[in-house]
Amino acid sequence: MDLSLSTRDEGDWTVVAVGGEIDVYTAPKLRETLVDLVNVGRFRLVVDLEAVDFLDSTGLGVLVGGLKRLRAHDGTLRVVCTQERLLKIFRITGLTKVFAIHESVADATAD
Amino acid sequence: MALVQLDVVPDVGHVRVARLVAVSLARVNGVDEEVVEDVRLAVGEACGRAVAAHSRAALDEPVRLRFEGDADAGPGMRVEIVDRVAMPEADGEAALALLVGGQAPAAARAEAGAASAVMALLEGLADEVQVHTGTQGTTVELRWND
Repeated sequence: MDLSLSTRDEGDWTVVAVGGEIDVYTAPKLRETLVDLVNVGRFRLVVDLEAVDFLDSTGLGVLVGGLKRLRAHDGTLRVVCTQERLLKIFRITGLTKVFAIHESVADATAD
Repeated sequence: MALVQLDVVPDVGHVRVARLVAVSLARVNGVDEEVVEDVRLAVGEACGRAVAAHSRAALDEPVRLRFEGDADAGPGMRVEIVDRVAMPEADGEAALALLVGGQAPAAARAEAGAASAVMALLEGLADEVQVHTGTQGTTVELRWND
């Protein structure tokens, strides 16, 4: 399965809903989307990983890169994820300390 | 299953194929279904690293994966991921250090961060990880024992 990406605004937030596999092949498309959003001044992003089947270190790298870029603009990037196998990857790499991980888009965009 | 060998041309689009093969063979070899996801990710990470190393070195040769298990003797699988990018000879910790930041070219600093994430994942997902580097390339060996 390939990667699917869709973007929508919810109040001050822009939600990027990702589906499919984020790996060394598809991650550049996600990076492009995040960079484009920053370039048009969207600095409060929620990346919704609920429909993601697979995430590797390249995908994590893109999320970290996105967060770095956003912080330079006083922005932030929140992650929505409840899938245990993906959460495990965030834990092993220590990224649960870096990202605010939420259970739903509503929760992530609450403030 | 004695041995299955897979040659992957150095194109990141094919790393997915390596993951699919790894998952099938893990099941054939009786690896616990919960652990199969770990095999998928770890083999994908190691194969992606090797493919990226070949691309950086402009090597057209394939990356080789060797899968070995013996379901009759018990569940478990051993996977070797072999690249052909020459490195100084090292084993164990020294080899890990080389993989994590040893190669020095331009993009190395960003890559060192990515490489350490790869190693963290391999160590976290496989029961055993061994890395051997040498002038013939690097072999990453992953084992699952249940």
